Amino acid sequence: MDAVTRAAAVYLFLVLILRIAGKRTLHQVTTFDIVLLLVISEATQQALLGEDFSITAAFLVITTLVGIDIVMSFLGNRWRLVDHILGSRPELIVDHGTVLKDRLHRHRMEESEILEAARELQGLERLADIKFAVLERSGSITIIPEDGN
Amino acid sequence: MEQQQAHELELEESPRFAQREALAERLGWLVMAAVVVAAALGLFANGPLSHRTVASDEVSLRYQRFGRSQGRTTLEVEAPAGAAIDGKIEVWVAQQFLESYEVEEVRPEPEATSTSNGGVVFSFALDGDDTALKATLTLRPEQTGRHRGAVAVASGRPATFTQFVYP
Repeated sequence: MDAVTRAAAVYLFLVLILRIAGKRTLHQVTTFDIVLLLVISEATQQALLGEDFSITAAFLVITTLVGIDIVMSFLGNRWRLVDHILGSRPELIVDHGTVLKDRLHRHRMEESEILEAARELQGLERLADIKFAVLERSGSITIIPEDGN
Repeated sequence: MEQQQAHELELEESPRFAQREALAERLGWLVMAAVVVAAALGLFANGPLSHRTVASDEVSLRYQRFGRSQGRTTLEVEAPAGAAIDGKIEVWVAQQFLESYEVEEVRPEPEATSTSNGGVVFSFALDGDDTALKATLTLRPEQTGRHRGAVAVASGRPATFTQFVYP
């Protein structure tokens, strides 16, 4: 009982806080993001198990977490709105070489991040070579090169 | 699905959703800031908003209004030397309150512990006649919710208090 409520509370809290933080915040852009992620998981672990280090407690916690995740995916599948609230929607950030500045600003992103993704994924050199760039639901950037590249 | 962009990219995007998402995000930041400030002030235990002192007859008690389950909280009991009988001061703590807590440490070490009148009595020996008692009970909250407590010295009226324990 205790382990199940703990796991459910932690799951809901994490969904909420990660959505508030925004897509890019913990997207491992810098080394520090990864460190932050590790620290968060450490703090979470304490809350999940408390002082109960039994295998049963671990099983219950894992089962609850995965179970809620499955339920959420069912709900998201049934109602698209739920899916969007939990996992956001993709957003166009470059349209035929033009950066959509207000959208970048909203996600606290810089042009250089788009160029970085363009170099990494497509070997592109300039913004003009980008046909579309999309900020995906995961927070990663995908690039579609201009025709002829 | 809204399809407003005049490009050939098939994308499940929606400016309206993106705007609402951004708004919700910013509201969330405000809530986060409020929580951090409240925590610094002691709304979640350990801060100026949390520490309180009550007094009744010969007992003065410093406690916390808020506690956290499985955390630590202290009751600081003070009694003047005049409350001593035969060089001993007896501190009574309501049993009902202690049932929700685990007593981790009592300092100074009581000479004897007994139960009476629906409470636990800690008996402290005093060195000299003019020494006041300053005892600290370190407790670990085991149950969440609001707990009513009472502490008395000798046969005086008890000082009452409540503590809210967060999960």
